[in-house]
Amino acid sequence: MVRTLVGTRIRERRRAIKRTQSGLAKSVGISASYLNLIEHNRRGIAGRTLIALAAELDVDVSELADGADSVLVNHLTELAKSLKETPELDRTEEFIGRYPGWARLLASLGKTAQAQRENLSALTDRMNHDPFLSETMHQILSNITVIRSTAGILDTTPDISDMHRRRFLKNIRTESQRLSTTAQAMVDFFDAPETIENPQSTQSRDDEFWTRNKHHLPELETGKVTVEALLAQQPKQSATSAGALQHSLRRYKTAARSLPLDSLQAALKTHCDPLQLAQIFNVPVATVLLRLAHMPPSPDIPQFGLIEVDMSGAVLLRKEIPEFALPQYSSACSLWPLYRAFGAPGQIIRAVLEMPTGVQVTTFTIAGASTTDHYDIPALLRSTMIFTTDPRAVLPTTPTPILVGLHCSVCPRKHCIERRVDYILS
Amino acid sequence: MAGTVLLIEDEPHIVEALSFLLEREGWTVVAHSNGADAAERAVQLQPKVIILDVMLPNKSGIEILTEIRSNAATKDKPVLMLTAKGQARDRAAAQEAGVSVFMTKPFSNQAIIDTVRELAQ
Repeated sequence: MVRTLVGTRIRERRRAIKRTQSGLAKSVGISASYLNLIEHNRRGIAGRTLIALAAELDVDVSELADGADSVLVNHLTELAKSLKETPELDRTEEFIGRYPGWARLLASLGKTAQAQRENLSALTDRMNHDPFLSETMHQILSNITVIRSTAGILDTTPDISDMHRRRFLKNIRTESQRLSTTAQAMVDFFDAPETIENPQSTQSRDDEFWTRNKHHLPELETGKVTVEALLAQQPKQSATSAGALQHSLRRYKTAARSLPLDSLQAALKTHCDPLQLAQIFNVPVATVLLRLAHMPPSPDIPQFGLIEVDMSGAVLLRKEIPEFALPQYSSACSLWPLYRAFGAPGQIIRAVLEMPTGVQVTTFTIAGASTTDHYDIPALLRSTMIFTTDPRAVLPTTPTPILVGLHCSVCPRKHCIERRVDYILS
Repeated sequence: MAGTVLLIEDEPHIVEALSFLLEREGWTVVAHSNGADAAERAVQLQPKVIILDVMLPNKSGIEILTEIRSNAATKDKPVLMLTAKGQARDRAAAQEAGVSVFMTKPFSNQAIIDTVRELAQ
């Protein structure tokens, strides 16, 4: 279980904006000595005092509150696991509280290293299985074999006949020319920008795009820009990457048109039930789920995160929220309804997930066909789960919470029947 | 005369080089470039040693080796396999099929000569 250090975050933030302890204490109506105790985590803090301090420190309450760093904690924990290192994991939150900039930098470096590992893995995989490369390597080695063997004959056979000498010299010349052509073809192959892409790196780019835009594109919603114009603004990418981003942008636009921002925000104040919203707006539930995860942050409505996977478990789209991390380097807990939904396509599953930290997460999940463009072939499915910790999203008839984790390696539920790998701290 | 070597290889310049090397050592080299009937050719020829490339047109070297090992007339013939790939899975497949010696390209001339001689004994 991670320790939460609200006081440490308050102290670091106060120092960052160069406020004195006494000055800050006075502004929020508490004594400097009491603030000192809070900052050293010797007194708890919540409610009005926390809100007042957040306002004075010019940060959102959620950035100071318990669990604010859970996403970063999980990222750093996963990073340690992926590197097979065992730093003081039980003090991760303290580290983040004391050195938030360094912690974010470390997490960012971890992400970069992971992306590079995935690219290397894709390249290695391609070296082993790509038919062009396989054939080319075979050709190069055959060329070299002839050149080496024939040159060896010429070098070690002083009494070779003129006929054989001419013949072998011609063979060496021919094979050298072939080798040159083949090597050039290989260089051209590696020069092509698409050669080192893999689904993961494509996904990372999609992630970067949506994270950069905070999963909300007001200009696309209002029609000020088109999908094509947005795509044209992106860094040069392969047809596969561009196609994936185009698909997600079009889905977003369709959802935004079906559920206009103002109308949905108004409806959400009284209805936080995706099924009811689907009926009110006369749209599929899947569209509602997608749209809820693409709403701009507002104190008036719950903030939803999202994860979408295909049947292989590959993550297609993801949005984290501060209180609920998503796995960076592996699949999630198999108990999440995200995977169970594949067993009942079209059925919306509502579930409350209880994390090992005790945080309860309200989720809505549905699996549906991602392609229906062939006769007589079962459709490929994708499963979409949205989630929030906001109590306003809890439905009156919410089922019993399911005890889950993030994924096995960072989950302390030792007796879970679905455990696949050991807990990193066990 | 050392005997006959059946060289099953589709690269003509490799065939020329290997034939020259082995013939200087006293071997009679019979080259065969088509995988489809290579095992049948081994049955007809009854060579002392078979040199077999892994990648051949129409039939892979592993398939040919399997046929050679499953025919009573050739099942004990020593087979030297050559491959330009040298990957672990090729080697494992060849060993499972009953290869005598597995050699990767590019090879040294002397290694080929020595190996053929050892296999013929």
